Amino acid sequence: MSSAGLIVEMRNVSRRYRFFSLQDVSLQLAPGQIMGLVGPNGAGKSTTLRILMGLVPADTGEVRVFGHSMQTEQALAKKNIGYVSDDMRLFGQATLEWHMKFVASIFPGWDPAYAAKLLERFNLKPAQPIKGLSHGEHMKALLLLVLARRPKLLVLDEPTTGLDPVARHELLTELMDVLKDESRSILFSSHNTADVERISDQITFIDRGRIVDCNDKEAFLENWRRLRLDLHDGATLPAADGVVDVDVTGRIATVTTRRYAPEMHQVYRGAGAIVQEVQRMTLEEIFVATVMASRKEPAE
Amino acid sequence: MSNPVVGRLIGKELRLNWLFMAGVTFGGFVSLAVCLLGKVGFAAGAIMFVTALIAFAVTLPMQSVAGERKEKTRLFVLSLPISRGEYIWAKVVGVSLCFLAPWTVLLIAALAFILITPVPDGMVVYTTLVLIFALTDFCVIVCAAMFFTSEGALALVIIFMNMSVTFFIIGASALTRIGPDSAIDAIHWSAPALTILGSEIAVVVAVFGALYWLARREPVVI
Repeated sequence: MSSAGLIVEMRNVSRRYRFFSLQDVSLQLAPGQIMGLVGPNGAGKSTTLRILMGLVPADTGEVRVFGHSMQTEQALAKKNIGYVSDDMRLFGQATLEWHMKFVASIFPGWDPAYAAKLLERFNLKPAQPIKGLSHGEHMKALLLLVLARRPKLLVLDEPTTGLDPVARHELLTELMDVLKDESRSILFSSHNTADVERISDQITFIDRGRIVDCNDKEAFLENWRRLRLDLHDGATLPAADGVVDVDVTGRIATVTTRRYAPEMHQVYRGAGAIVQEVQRMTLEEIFVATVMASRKEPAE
Repeated sequence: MSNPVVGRLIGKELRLNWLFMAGVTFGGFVSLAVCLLGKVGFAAGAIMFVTALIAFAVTLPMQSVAGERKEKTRLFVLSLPISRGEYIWAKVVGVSLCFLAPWTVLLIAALAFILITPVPDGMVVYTTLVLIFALTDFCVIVCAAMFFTSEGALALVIIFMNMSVTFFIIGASALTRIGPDSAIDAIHWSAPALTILGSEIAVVVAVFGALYWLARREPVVI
């Protein structure tokens, strides 16, 4: 894709800390695209999103959002970005109503009718001081303040972390509603693959500060398979393109591949192994397999 | 700084701190009232007055600058359409207005108190120097709260500044010969007093210069 139409463009971004470094991260997000950034705790998801928001400067590389450099023009870019992070907090001594007025005074596109609808849907009381809100209510309040601005890009950093199942369901349902507006893009980080699978159409896996894979959700689900093989007479499995893991127990071998093709059956049959079962993999299984495979690769 | 969000953030600072500001102003007036209660009352009231201002000079930046970082409300503010440099200016101007409003009212009230009551007018010089020291104290702590992400480093600066209050009160008294000067019912800015005043103003200017540099440098503030 040409960079002209991109909402988000991160190119070769690196940032070094004492005990962690983000290495050569590149991301692209097109209008209307919903990207899930998936990684274990400490993988670099929050750092990536903070660099994207211009909150932390990159040591090297470039970040552009809506065509604006986040190093020099972040105020312009942030007019159209709604950012929510699980560790972001509102002012405890003020009420939600005060926050709504405050945000409305900054963003001309604030939609009071939508804000009122969200208040009702999230069961939030505008007069309640923020310090009295539970974590789930706090996250809903943050989401309300962002959604009622109707930003063109939503950047959500682990928004469902620490939420009970009901609050998580409510929050994700609201996000699904937002997705009906096809012009809006979302970048959504989580270590919960179920949440990401539910709303994302593009998925990026990140681990130990590096992007380990990036593809359409459907492509991930279509390409990854786990094959159960019966090995006759101590047959040796041939090397096959895309195989990330082989686990042999007695006569049974389990092969995990990121590029499944029906032709693999013939290749294995030729080597004396019969494919007994082909299993589809969940996104979580694909994520774990991707991360484990990347960790086996020699460091560059 | 043409970004209108800067103005909104300054307004936010005043809105969130107005109760604190009103409380300190009220406390200052109560202290001045206590000063009317004889010699002991004057000593107690003067200590209460200075303590209220110094405590305000420490607590306001701790709550409004360091607290915003610690509580992660800074993340919310920085998600708004504002650059890091503009954020620093909005914060410095906002928190300075929050301090300067009660400080100015109490400075005027204290000087008026000296001039109206039988307290020797010579006390005007010493009182001005002590109150400007409170302003200097505030500026240094604001700057430290902006520069240091480490709570330990900030605590060291606060301890140093709090200790220096005592030294300043004693030192300024000795240097300006507060006894003889204050006994005179006339305002006399002696050379040592002017030197102290100049030093205080120099510190304030240096601190704001450092903050200007910090804002230009676009530092990591998360």
